[in-house]
Amino acid sequence: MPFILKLPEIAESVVEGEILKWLKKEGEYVKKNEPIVEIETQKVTVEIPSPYEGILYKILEKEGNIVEVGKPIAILTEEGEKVEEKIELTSPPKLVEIKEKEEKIEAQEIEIKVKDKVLASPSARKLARDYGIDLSKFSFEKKVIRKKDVLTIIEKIEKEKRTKEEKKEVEVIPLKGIRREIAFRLRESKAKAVHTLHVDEADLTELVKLREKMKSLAQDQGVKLTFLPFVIKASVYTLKRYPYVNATFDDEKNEIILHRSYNIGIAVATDEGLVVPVIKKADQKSLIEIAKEISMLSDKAKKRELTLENVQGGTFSITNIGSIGGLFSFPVINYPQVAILGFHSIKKRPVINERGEIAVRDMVYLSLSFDHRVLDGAIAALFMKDLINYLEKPELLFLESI
Amino acid sequence: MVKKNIAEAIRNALDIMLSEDERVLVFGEDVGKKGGVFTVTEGLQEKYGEQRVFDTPLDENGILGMAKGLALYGLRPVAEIQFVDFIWPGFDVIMSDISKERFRSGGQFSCPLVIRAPYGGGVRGGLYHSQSPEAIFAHIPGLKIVIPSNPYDAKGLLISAIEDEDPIIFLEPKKIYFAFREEIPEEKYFVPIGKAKILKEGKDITLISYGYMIHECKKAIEELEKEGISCELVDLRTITPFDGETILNSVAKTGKVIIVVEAPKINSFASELSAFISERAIYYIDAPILRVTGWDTPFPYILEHLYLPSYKRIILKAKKILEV
Amino acid sequence: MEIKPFGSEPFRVIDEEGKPLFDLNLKEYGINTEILLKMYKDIVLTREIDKLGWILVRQGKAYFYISIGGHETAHVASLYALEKEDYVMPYYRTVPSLHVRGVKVEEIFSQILGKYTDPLKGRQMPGHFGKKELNIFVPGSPVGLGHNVAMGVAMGIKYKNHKRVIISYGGEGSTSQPHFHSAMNFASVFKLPLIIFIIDNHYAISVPRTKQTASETIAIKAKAYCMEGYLVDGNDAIATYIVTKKCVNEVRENSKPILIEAYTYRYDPHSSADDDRKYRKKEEIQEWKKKDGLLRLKKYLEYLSLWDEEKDLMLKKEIEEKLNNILEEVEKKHLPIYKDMFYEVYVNTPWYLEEEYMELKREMEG
Repeated sequence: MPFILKLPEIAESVVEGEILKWLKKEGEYVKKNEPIVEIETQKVTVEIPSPYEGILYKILEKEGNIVEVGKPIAILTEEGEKVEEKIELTSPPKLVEIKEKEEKIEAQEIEIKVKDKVLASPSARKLARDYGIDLSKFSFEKKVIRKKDVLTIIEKIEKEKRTKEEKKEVEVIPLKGIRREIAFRLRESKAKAVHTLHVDEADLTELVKLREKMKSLAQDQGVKLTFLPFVIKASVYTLKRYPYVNATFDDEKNEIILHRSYNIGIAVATDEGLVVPVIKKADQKSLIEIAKEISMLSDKAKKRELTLENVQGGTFSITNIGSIGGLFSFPVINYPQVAILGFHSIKKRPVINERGEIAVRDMVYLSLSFDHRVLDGAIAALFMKDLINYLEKPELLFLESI
Repeated sequence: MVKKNIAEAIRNALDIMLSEDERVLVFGEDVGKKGGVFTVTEGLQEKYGEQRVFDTPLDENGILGMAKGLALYGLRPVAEIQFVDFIWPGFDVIMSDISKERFRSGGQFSCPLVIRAPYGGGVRGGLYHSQSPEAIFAHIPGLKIVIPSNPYDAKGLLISAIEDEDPIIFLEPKKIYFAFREEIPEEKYFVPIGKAKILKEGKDITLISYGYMIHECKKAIEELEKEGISCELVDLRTITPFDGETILNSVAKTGKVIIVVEAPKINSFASELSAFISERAIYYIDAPILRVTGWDTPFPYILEHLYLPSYKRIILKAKKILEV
Repeated sequence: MEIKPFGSEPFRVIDEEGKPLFDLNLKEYGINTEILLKMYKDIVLTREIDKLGWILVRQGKAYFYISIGGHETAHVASLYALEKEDYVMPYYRTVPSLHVRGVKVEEIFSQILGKYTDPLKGRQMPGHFGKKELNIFVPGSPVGLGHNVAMGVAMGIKYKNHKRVIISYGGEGSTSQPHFHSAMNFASVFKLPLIIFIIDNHYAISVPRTKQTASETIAIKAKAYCMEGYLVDGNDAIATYIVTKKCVNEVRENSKPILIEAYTYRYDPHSSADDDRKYRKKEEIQEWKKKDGLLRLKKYLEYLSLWDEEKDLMLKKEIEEKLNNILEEVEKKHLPIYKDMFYEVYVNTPWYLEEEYMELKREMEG
């Protein structure tokens, strides 16, 4: 077996050395402990005595090389020994296996004999303290309670609270915000106005066709065209003929105020409740303008961004509840206005036409809720008749448009 | 039973050991005719002769070198350092030689000796007659450090120390050398080294202390009891090797702990105990581990009453710990 | 021939060529040919042990070596002056000579290599050795401490009325330490049977003797303590033996301390971690090697026709073989077990050390 000479750790904290001079040539015989190479390190310069007696077969690091401690620097062989081509230079260091004998020391960690204590991490204790949880009242599988265990308890407690709430027969919700406003206004309306209802139906087959055509045109301008702008437009034209419907009632002065501007309130449902923003001067606006304003106002309403300006000054209101369904409803007048129009769902229904045939038409119920103190029943019926006429023959809307 | 103060109790222990063990030698500066600056060795030279009880040159290094050599030669030296503040010229002997003898010789030699030294403040001793360097010695493997707080323990611990096979630094709380007398047995008895003592049981807070500070703790406990707060008081008695078991069980029981020492806070032995408790008993405790210590300044002279931890400082910390 | 303290020149009895300077009556000092030959062989053995110490560190088998090279004669000859019941406080350079007191060579090599056969259990660097049953204390590395502790041992000897002596070795650098003063002062005040034996080898690592002290000699320092101080040629085995013997006898009889300064020289670097070419010239070493103690004793033996070159070659070969065989065996020994690190810190291992040991055990067993 060839002997691999490695650079020894010559002095404390030395990690490398320079091969200064080989004191033996390759092929030369080296006695045990005879100096073989001179090494210079940061601390000392020394001659290395050979730990092996034999021939210096090969020098692996020539003079001037800087070599790490532990790296092979030469191969030595016995005299006449054959050396294989490949020599494993980096044999793993021999570990001296030391078996510990039977131990006299068998240390156990100090045992804490206190048994009735809750074991918990400081952060768990703090959380429990802050939340008012007495950890000793809970049972845990683990030996030590940690923060996440306390979080689990808190979650459990919260859940229990919620289920308890849900199981209650009634839920008391204090009246506040918009809901309180609505309640006040509706009570005022019902208390003061003499609510009367007039219901009729309209054949919207033509309007449905028309809207279908106009929808895509509006879409090009980025506007969603619903039936409501048509109903507004038709209402405005009808109102012009019946000034007492576009009116408000002054309770204190006992005066009826007829309005020359046509400010149409539209009921918009929000999470907080119904709000009625107003499209001002609807008579001076085109269908598309009205459509744009509707979507702007309902957006604002849903975001609760309506200003006082947006909801004041209405002269007539329309409530469109058709999208949900039902035949018709009895809307509450937006007091001090004197009338409100309910526009319901458009459904295909069989009707007897002028020719006495049964035809399938797009039908809608319309309900007009009005203050009987201001309007007589006949006026209301006539108003509805004219309105229906506009809706059934939408071309009229264009005839009368400015 | 006889009534003795700490100084008398220590003298009593030396007397007993000198009389029964020829190997015991007592020496240091002014311990002979004068009987020590705190009278601890008074009368001993007269009784046992200059061979057994003797004065040395004013050189702590020589005193400790002599103690080490005597111990190597099979004797039981009890060396007095007049004030522990003056031990440093001989620190090399303690650090490099005494503490390591058993280990470095492969167990061939041992170093059974006692270094007695008054320590601690409260006597207007200024920077160099007041310090509490127990933590410095506690950092050296191979030493044992013992600090009594009362006459009974002082006698029993010193007798145990003289008979112990290891080198012992025996620190005597000078403020209470003469402060009070207690009934103690006249004959020889042992207080075990390495065992703490629960001086008072309680349930709300554990106070751990030693030496003179035990008495400030007692005062604080009295006051706190008036407010319905119950404290457990652990007198550590041995700094190295300290009684981990007693500490952990007390702390686990109360869940709160204050460690009271008069040394500066940083790296004090209170710091070691705090770390030990947090490693072993953190899940048992429900409040921060607090240390009441001297300030991190050199020991002051005229303002020492503001430096030393008082029962008031302990009460404030106790209330703080109960807030959580 | 009168041996007097405080000489200005080192006391010597044979010159560099091994010729006696006086008409020596060696019997007067209990020296016979047997002792002379034995002493010579012990000096040779010491030098050979030392050589192997260097080889072990240069071959990477030991981590450190600190040498006795150059002061073998001073050590061996002074140790010869002691009786069996006397005590030795060695310093690190003394160790290779301790076979004189009965230390086995196996133990010296075991200590250098940190094997379990080392009485110190591999706990100290090479050069720190002691053996209780041979009255040899264990030194540490801090210089001078041994003198201070030896003073305490001397106090114990005196207290027990034992007719014994303790000799404490140290380099001239150790006389700069407070321990030297404490030992001299206490020993002289208490009249203790202590010999402080200073191996004045001219260097404390790189600092020359002239920068260590302004005193003309080390020995003269004794004067201030009302002690005797002897300056002897440490490379003169006979002179060193005679002076030490005289002092040992006086100390034993009269219980008093004496300081001896053995004037000699360190051939090797301070330790394996030192490069002495930075602070001294090769020529200086060569000059001193001419005065080599071993060589001088050999020449003296030849002068007495007790020795010749042939015998010398035989002796060296014999020693070399013997040492190589011992070393080979020692190299095979295993290291201390890791438990050895945790016990003997205290008489009983405290709970926390037991726990720490178990911690390491778990770490080792993975």
